Parts: sequence; structure tokens; C-alpha cells
Amino acid sequence: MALTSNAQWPEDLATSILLRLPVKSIIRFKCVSTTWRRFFDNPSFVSRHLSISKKNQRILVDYTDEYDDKIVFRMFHDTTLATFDDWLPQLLALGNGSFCVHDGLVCVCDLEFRILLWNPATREVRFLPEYYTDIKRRRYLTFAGFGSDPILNEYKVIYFVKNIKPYKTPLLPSMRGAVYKMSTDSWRELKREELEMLEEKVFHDNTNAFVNGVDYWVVSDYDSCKVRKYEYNVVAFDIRKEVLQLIEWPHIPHTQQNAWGDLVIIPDIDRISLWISDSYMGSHTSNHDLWVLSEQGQYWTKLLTIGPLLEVHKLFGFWNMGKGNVKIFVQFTNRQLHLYDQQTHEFIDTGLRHKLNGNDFDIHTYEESLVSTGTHTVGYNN
Amino acid sequence: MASTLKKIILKSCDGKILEVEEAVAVQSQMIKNMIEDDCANEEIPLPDITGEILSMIIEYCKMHVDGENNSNNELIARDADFITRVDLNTLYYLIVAANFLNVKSLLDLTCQRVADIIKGKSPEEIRLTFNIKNDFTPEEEEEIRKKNAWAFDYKD
Repeated sequence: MALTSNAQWPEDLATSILLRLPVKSIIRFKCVSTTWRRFFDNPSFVSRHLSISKKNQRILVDYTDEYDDKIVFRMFHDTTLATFDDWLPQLLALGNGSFCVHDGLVCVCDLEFRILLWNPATREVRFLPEYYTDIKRRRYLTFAGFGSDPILNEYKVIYFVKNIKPYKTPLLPSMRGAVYKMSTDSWRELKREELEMLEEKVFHDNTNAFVNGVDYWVVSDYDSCKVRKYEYNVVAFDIRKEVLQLIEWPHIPHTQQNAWGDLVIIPDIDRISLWISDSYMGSHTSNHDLWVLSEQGQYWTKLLTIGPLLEVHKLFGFWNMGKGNVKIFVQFTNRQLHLYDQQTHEFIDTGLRHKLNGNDFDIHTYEESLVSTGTHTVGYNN
Repeated sequence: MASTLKKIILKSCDGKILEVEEAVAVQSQMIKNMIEDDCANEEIPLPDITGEILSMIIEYCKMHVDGENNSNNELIARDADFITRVDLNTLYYLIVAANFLNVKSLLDLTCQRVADIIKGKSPEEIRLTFNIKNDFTPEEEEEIRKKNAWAFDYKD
């Protein structure tokens, strides 16, 4: 298959160039010739394009804006924060403010309990087959996760529904869950014994993180009287084996007992970790410890401490610009989001401030991709 | 430290001879392999690379050896300065040469530059640039354009 005629551009070099094009250009160039269209639609091109795109990661921030009281979904192109796009409000209006982002696909759980997959770069949107249609919605909370099996490259969604009024249906389990497989376009209900460890737990919104074939969330103990005991755990779901695991919180010093932790992925080594801070209401300085989980998920090791930082409430994920150049998102006590350079100790203001009692900042890494949302996809023009 | 001063002699297809410090020459994985196999003691003929292109590649490699201790941002700025001076035609010869000499970072840089040059073009311009025949029927092409109308609005 020759991409160009008269063999001017050798095949492999032409490929190297086309792999570096933005998604929008690739979609436009599908009408260059039938050969180019087939080439761009080839799954091997899609996956190679994704792996190059991953080197050019962007950052997505969603939060409730201080001024217009709306959920904003902002994508920053690079660490100068100079260029950004705000994403489609009509799709976001569907969601409950909790998003999972992986391989350029966004998984959104809407207020009607439906789940949709969205590729913002190709503008494909698809609703998954409805699953929990039988439950009384006001009694339930929903939590979703999204990821792929790194070996079979199979995309899966995991969906939990938690009954917050279990005394009304005492014979049913309070937590139910199901796994969706993109290749078969079907759901599998998790058995009661598979979910037993989560029976007394509740997931925390916006805590989903996916790395190396495993989805993670922060959960805490829950009782139906809504008295949270604030004992945290991390739940891991192995996407390939479809197995859940409950992981203990790190053994932190007494001064930080009951401290909340934010799940983050450490760039380059691709490991899940927790930021645990010693900040409390009214404190002006704080220290932040990064605890990294061992490969089998058995124990946590403290990797580094950042601080003391002035008026910093908490630390978020990393923005990896390659070659050891890593910046960290921090939230100040006045609810402003800044980007912190650990080497120069400089802060860059993102200009974002979240509303008090609105959605907190939720930060994802995002890379453009051609990955399809699956069959029966509908596009949209905007 | 005699080895760091060792010179490698390269000969372009148009007969230009260039003496290059070993530390600079080994940016090319191909030359590095030749040195390791002890095949670089005499001049190395490069049959498909002109003197002009070879000088540019050596300039690039030298910039990276000299800039080893510079920050990432400085290197990115220098790369950008180097590559934006090159036109599409020269880029083609640079890519072929970087591929032959196996200078991975230069190959990435040049391919990315071509992608950046062509990303805003129309399908017609792409056909012209790469000498490609349009084998869609007008109806087929219209259908693709209609389905993805947003992608044909290319202000960016």
C-alpha cells in the first residue's frame, strides 16, 4: 500500500509524519484518497497514534466555577497555561460531575443513570446499553470507572450503584456492580460474594484513577444514618481479571490520623499513590507526603514530602513535560488552583477558583486519540 | 582523554569531507555501531547524503552535545530555532538522512515539523504536496466531508 505515489516519500517515513498529526487533521485527510482512509482507520495506526499522543499530555480540570456557578471542563495545552479550550457544556450538563478519562476517551455517568463514552477529539458520543433500569433512582448513588486491559487492549467500564436507604429493601445487597465490555457490547453483573468487601463502604466522588490495567477509588465506611466514620480505604479493580481488592490506608503518624488522601498517578514510573497532608482548617502552613503503593498492592511507602507550603490546602496530580520536568497542581486555602514547580518553587496561577460548596477541582491527564467509542457510534457537529 | 578528541571522517555523496568529533558523531546510532565494530577508522562514505544536508545534521548533533547541561526548555527552544529555518523540500532530505544515520531525536523533530506544516492544509493541498491521486467518486468524497464537516473548518 503506497501512501504517496512515485515513491518520493518512503512508506515508513510518511507513516512517521502522519502519526504526528492532530486528530482533526487526520479526519479531514481521510478524504485525500481511499488508501489514506483505510490507513487511518487501521487499528494499528490508531494505537501507534495514541502512544505518540501520550507524550504530549494535556490537562483537564473540571470544577464548579466561583462566578457563574456552572461546571466547567477546561483543557490546558501546556504548562504555560496560555492556551486552553472549554469543553461542550451540553454534554457536561448530562453528567453528575464525575468523569473518568483514559486513552482520549471520557466516560460520563449521567443523572438518568446512563453511561456514555465520549471522544472529544473525534466528537463521537455513545450511550452504553442501559443496565440498572430497575432501581429507584432517588435511593441510589452511582460510581463509575473506566480503563483498558493492557494485554488484550479491551476497554471496560465498571459501574457501581449504592443503595443509601438499604432498610427499605433489607433483602437486597446495598452495593451492586457490573462490568461492561466494549468488544461484546454487554454487561456482566458482579456476584454478591465478589462485592462483599464493599457492603459497608461508599465511594468518594472524583477519586477514580486508572493506571497499569487497574482502576482505583477512595472509599470510606458508610452507615445508613449518614454518620461517616472517616476510615478510608482504597479499592482496586483489576480490569483484566475483573477482581476487586480492598487496600488499607497507609500507616500514617498520629498527627495525620483521619487525614484525607488524593489518589494520583506518578508519571514515568506509572504507579498509584496518595497525597496525604497535615493541613487542617485554619492552618497557614502544611506539609504533604506522597505515599506510593507497592506493585501487588500490599503496602505503602512514603516517597517524598513537600513543604512547608504557605496557604496551600492540597496537592493534586502531576503534569509531566518529559525529561524529569514535572509540575504539580495545588489548591490554595482560598480555593484557587495553581501549578507548582518543585525545582524553582514558583507558582503559576491557573486563574481558576472553585465555588464554595460546589464541585472541587478534579484533574485528569488527557491525550487526543482516534480510539473509537465502539460500534453504533453517533457523531455530532458543533 | 585521547578518545574524546578522536575525529571521525565523513564523506558526502557530492564529495565533501567533514571531520567530526567522535562525541558528536556518535549521536548517529549508525556511526556509533560502526565505531564499536571498529569500522570507522577510515572515511565513511554516505552515498545518499549531500554535503549541505550533512552539515546541517552535524550542526544539530553538535548543538545537542554542547547543550547537554542546558535545561529542557533551552533545548526545546534551540530545536525550534533550528527546525523553523528549514523548508519542506530540505526537510524531506533531512528526514531521509536522519533515518539512514539513525539520529532518533532529529528524526522525531523533523517528522513533527512536517506534521505541523501540513496539519492545517486542505485535502487538495495534501494531494498536491504528496502527489496523490484522488480515487474517490465525487459522491463518496462529499459524504465524508458532510459526515465530518467540523473538521473542514480549519482556522486552527
